Amino acid sequence: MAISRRQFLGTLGAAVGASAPLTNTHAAGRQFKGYPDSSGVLHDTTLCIGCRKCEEACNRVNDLPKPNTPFDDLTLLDKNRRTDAAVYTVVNRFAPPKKETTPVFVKKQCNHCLEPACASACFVKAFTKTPEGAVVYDESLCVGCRYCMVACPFEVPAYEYDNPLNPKVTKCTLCAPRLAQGKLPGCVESCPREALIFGKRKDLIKMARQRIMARPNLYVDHIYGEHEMGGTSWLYLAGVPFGTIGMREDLGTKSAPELTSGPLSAVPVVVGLWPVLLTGVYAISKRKDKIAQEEKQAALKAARQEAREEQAASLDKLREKMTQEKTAAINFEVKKALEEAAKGQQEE
Amino acid sequence: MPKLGSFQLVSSAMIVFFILFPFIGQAGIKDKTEKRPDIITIDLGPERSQNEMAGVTFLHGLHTRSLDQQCAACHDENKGRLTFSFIPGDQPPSMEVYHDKCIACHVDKKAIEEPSGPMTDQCGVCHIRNPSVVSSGEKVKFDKSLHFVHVNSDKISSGKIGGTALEDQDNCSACHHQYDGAKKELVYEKGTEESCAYCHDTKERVLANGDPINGNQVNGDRVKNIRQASHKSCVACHQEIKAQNGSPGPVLCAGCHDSREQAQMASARLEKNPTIPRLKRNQPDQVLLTPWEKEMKDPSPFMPAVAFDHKGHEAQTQSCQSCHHDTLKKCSDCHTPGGGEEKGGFVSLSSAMHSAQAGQSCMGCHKKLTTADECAGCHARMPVEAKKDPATCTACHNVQPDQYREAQDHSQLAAETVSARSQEYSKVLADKIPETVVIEDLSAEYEPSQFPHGKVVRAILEKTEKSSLARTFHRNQAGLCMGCHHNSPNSLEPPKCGSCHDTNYDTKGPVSDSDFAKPGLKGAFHGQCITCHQEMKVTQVLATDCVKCHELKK
Repeated sequence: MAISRRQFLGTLGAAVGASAPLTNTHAAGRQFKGYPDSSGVLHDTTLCIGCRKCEEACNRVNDLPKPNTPFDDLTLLDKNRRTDAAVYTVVNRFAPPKKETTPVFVKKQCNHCLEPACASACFVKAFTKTPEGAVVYDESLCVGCRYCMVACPFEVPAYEYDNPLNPKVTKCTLCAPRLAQGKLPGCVESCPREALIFGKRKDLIKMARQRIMARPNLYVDHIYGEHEMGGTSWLYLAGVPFGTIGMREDLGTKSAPELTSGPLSAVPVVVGLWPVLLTGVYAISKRKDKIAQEEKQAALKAARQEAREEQAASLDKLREKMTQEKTAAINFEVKKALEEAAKGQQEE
Repeated sequence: MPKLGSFQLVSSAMIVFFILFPFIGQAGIKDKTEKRPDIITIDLGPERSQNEMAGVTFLHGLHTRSLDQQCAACHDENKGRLTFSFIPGDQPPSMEVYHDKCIACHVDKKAIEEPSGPMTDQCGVCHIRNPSVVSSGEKVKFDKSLHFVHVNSDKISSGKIGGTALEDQDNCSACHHQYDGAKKELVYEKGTEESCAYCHDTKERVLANGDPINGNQVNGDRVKNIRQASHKSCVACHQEIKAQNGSPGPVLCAGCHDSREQAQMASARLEKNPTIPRLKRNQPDQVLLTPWEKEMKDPSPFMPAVAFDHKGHEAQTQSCQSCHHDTLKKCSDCHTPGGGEEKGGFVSLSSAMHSAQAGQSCMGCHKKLTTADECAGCHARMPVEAKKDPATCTACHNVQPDQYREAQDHSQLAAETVSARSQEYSKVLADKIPETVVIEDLSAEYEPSQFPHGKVVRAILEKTEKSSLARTFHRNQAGLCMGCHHNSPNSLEPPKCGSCHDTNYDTKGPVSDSDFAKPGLKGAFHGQCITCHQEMKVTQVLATDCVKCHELKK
């Protein structure tokens, strides 16, 4: 059935009406600034020497499989690496800035966002941001959809592709189990240079500011992670622009849930309201069709009736005429017979 | 579904292709711009529309070469010297002049079948909106060695400027001059020379009476911009010497403006004159810099004065402008103690001397010098606004107000103070320096470190003694120990590092403001050693070579 103009406009109006509530969702202005007193780590990349002690400690404290190349083999730094199922953290080397000879080393791991994209994308709540600061993963809930891997702007969560029976998503835990025992995260504890400092996030921000203020010639005036993606528990200082050491500068300051809450809040509206509206539109147009059909039927009936009456009238007329003619013929015959009878009497 | 026609098939295939490979063909584009030092952009003001011709990127070197360096083909002479403006006389620059002069010459050249330039109908050859050549022209670096070459030259004749011949053995009057508004001519006065930029700005200046530099009776007089003035002085003089078959300075653009030629000539000059004699401008040898105004009767509430070794600083700098701005006046002439003077840019004398950011201030320049490898080991990670230890003030402020008041001859007092200071240099006796220090406070994964303390100290002392700046400011060698043994009283028996630095942060992390700036003991040890090695470019001890300093525990 082709869509009529009326139907099209009706559907369009319904769509506009249903999407109108969307514009109000941002006005709610929710402001989550992270759990107070949550912990984090400050990574001062100007101090990092690229020794990979943090990688070694991470491997040890998390009982991860031993890699093929030992941790004191620094040739691995020739390649830019990323985290995988058995490696929760990697150190990458970046070419020294102009006029400098010392390269820049950056440790990469889960940044433990204040409002994590992974947790926001997970529809079974396998990820939780704890008030202590860590973003923890519950494998018993995970269904293996890997939406978290797609959602993470830092490309951190990895997946045990070679575990066919019970594959898990893996990432840095901020050593939440160790923290519960009063121990420092493995990487922080092992860093010889104290390029990783564990503490309350708010203290670390103050500390980072002090470092920048004391040595403005050594630092870029920015704390990476203070506001990126709504803020992360892992914070970074650098002596060169963050974009040049493999850190995304295009993320903006809104957290993933904040970015998606608008469109997602429309889902109940769409799911709840659209069927009603669309059904209504359908019903109205259906009813209009029905009325039109009935009118047409009535008109047809009336026309048929009229025709029938007309036909009957002309038939009656014909019949009458024929009756008259018949009567006239009878009368004529009678008259003729009477005349002949009279004539015969006269002859006799 | 209707069958797709061949046109629809092809077009949809193309759309898919362009979505998949949007940047095809662009990867091959390379930066083809050529850099040359001889580019002059002729642009008669802002373009008003796309329909108007773009400016002309004029390659001066190409023209000097093809005209066989006959400058007079384009430039006029004025009072026996070439003018370095293409437009003759006082004419304003206009399209007609350029077109007439340029194209006429091109036509003439073509007529005699010589290589020639574009003609009237070839607009786009000269007027190029996005030229493929960019200027690599550098400013002339007129340092003291280049200055000395001119002072020392026997080809430069003095007193040409100003008309009358002058008795001047040092060629100063050949370039330096002042403007006499009454006589409307340039005059020379010995001992008052300034830098060119003092009067000649980047743009032509029109003087008004009461001009701070040129004074009265100058209304409406024009001061050439630095470009015209320097070309008129330098290039014309070089041309004249060339005409006399002498060996002139550069006459082509690249000679002065190409960075490679600049560097070559600078090293050639250095080879010829390793030591440059002092400039002769009646500058003081040593001078007292006073934080108070001269007429101040009782200077006691002020900081002590500074006995400044002007002669010593001349030897260490490349030009007067390392400290002075365009003028060679005394600092306090413009930077008054209060700083409320426009002529001093509202910068007080104290800021002018102490600003860590300004290149011309004492502390700014010294701070910059500490970025050298020899100094950076200790100085690199020092906070920019370092804690002011009152003891460091007296390194410079060493003439008490009373001494100043009582002294008859201030320059003699300055000289005496400077020479007394250069003799105070107290060494640390070798037997006071431990040879090996075992660092064992934090031994877990590795054995204690056998730190070659004596070797490190000797290396630092050796580097310090080579530098006159370091000798002056580290007069007490024990102060050098503070490079590592910082934030504790200067002593030959400093406290152990663990006295202040904690063995490790616990999970509470740094909590107080003092902890923020203070690393744990592990960070402190590694920080001192590794930062120093990195900054001083000690490549024998790599930061990641753990066993170089402490062996792995078995």
